[in-house]
Amino acid sequence: MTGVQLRNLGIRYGQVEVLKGIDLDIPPSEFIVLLGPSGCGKSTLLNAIAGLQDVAEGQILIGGHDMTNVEPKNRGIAMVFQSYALYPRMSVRGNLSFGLKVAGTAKPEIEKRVANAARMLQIEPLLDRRPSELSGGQRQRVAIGRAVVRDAGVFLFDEPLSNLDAQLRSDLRVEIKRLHQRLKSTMIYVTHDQIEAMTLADRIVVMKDRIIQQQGTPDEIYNKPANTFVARFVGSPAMNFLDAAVEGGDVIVDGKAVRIASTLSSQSPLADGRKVIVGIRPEALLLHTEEAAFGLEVEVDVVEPMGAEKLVWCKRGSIGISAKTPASVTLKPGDKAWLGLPEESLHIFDADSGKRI
Amino acid sequence: MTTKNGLAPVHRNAYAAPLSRALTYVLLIAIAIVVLIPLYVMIVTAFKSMEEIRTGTLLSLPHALTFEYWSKAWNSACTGLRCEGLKVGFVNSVLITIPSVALAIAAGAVTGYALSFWRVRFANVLFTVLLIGGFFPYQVLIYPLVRITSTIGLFNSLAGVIAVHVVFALPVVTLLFRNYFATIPIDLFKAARVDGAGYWRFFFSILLPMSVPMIAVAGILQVTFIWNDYIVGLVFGGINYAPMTVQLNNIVHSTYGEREYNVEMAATLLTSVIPLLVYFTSGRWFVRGVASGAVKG
Repeated sequence: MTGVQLRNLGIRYGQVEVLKGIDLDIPPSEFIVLLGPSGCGKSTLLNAIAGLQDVAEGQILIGGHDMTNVEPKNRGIAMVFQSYALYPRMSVRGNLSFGLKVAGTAKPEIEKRVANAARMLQIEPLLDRRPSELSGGQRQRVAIGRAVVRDAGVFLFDEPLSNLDAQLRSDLRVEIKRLHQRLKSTMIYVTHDQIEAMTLADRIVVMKDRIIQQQGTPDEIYNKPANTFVARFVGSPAMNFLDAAVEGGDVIVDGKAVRIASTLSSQSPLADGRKVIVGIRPEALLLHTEEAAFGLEVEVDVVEPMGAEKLVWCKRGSIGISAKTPASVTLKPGDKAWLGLPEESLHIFDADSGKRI
Repeated sequence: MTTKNGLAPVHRNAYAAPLSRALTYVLLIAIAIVVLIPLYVMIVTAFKSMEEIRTGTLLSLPHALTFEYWSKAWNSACTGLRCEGLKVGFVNSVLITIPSVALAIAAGAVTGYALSFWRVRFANVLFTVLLIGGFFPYQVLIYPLVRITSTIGLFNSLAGVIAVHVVFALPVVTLLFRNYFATIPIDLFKAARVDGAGYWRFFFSILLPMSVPMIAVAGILQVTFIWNDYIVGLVFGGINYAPMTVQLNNIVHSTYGEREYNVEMAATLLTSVIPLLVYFTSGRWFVRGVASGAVKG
């Protein structure tokens, strides 16, 4: 089992700094997801680990060895790409065995490994077909198979499911998770899809603007986002943000007092008048259809039934707030409603820095 | 025509005004006649005896079908002092064209590959220089090339003609391949590198099998270009390696006494057989390749 360490990694394209001061410690067998919007440098980071991207400064250690300047094939890694990147003129069998052939592996061993991977990914009937004769899902299975055949300690996934439709995506997601449980290899997975990140990861690394914003278990990322960016990026629909000002240890949201004292991580009360942002997830809001004195009065704008639940988009003046309610609640646009903000579900961020308080 | 119905564009011609359709056909037929009449005259003249030609009925069909003049053009027409016909030139043209085309494609493909997938230092500068080279009228470069080839001992030799052809072909072939390779996703290259494929392994195992259409296009372009070339063969081939085009010119322009129009026409047609064959058998490839690679970018 192989761990990966990144030490103060920096990557530049000419004069442009793409990544800066990245430190990351990935223990063996961990499934780690690099999550972030496009352009945040997550794919560049993955390419650097693979050896496909030159590193300007810092070190990459794989399995305890310095691999910063080692050829990709010698790093003990396997990689799966968003575009599948299957060799178009080779059969599926040829695609799976190409790497082993290049490495000079003995024929019986190649056949054994290909058969093994094909069985694992249920692509045995496809072995003699060309990539052009396969569907998107089948192609990505073959691409994953090509990685499995390499028997690598570290698997790198570069948005492998982004080109697939919704149904296939969730199927293959489970497949990848099963693969991890079975192979116990270290897996580094890049995506911009927070659902993939939440469902697959042992640990999520959220990235934005060339730096790591937060790393932690999916639970930590979801329940204790380090800043407003992470809070907004993870969770669907996104967390609600309300501008507020501190008064007497609690806050005033649009003229309404809201208790926050027990949600703060620091013990000392906040100074009066300090500007903060109160965050709350749609599913944490308590929506009352009858007047509740403690609640924030809002008007229903749009109702989206989602089967098991309803998503209610409310407005209070210029402020928009979304809330999840059970499907049994009946509301129509224009109705009045009152939102309860449970103290324990609130996230308080500094208004200037966006950091969690 | 509305495009709301997805079928509309397909049926557009059927609904077009009959008059404009008729005009289109008249125009197309007229152009075809203008282009084809000289060819027709060449073909019928090549079968006519000199007596028949002298009667001046340019467009009439020959009285008898004889291949005598074709055979003379091929076997015994005089090119200057030698009277061995065009066949010598044909052999020379084959000897020049095949290695030139093969080498030009090989060199162009490898250069295009290096310039597209590998981060070569100053790659853009190199490519620009190559392109400028391609836009230069090559007649301008003849004299310097004569000096260069004579200095290194390649002047008046088969190798010299081939080398000059390859040099002139390199810009366009490189452009063709570089632009084609630029459409191939970089992930394929990355996947192959993770699989351990190096420079040549990726090129031969993965890239080249994908490039068959481009190889065909480059081949067609270069075969016709090099076969039809006159000046390079004339200047660099000397007497021993004059290609078919040069010999054709010698037959047509160096006749003493009566001009044998029939033999000259037959010789001209024989010389153009190879490019015509290439066009007719692979025209579709040619158009497709030019549309997909050479013009774009």
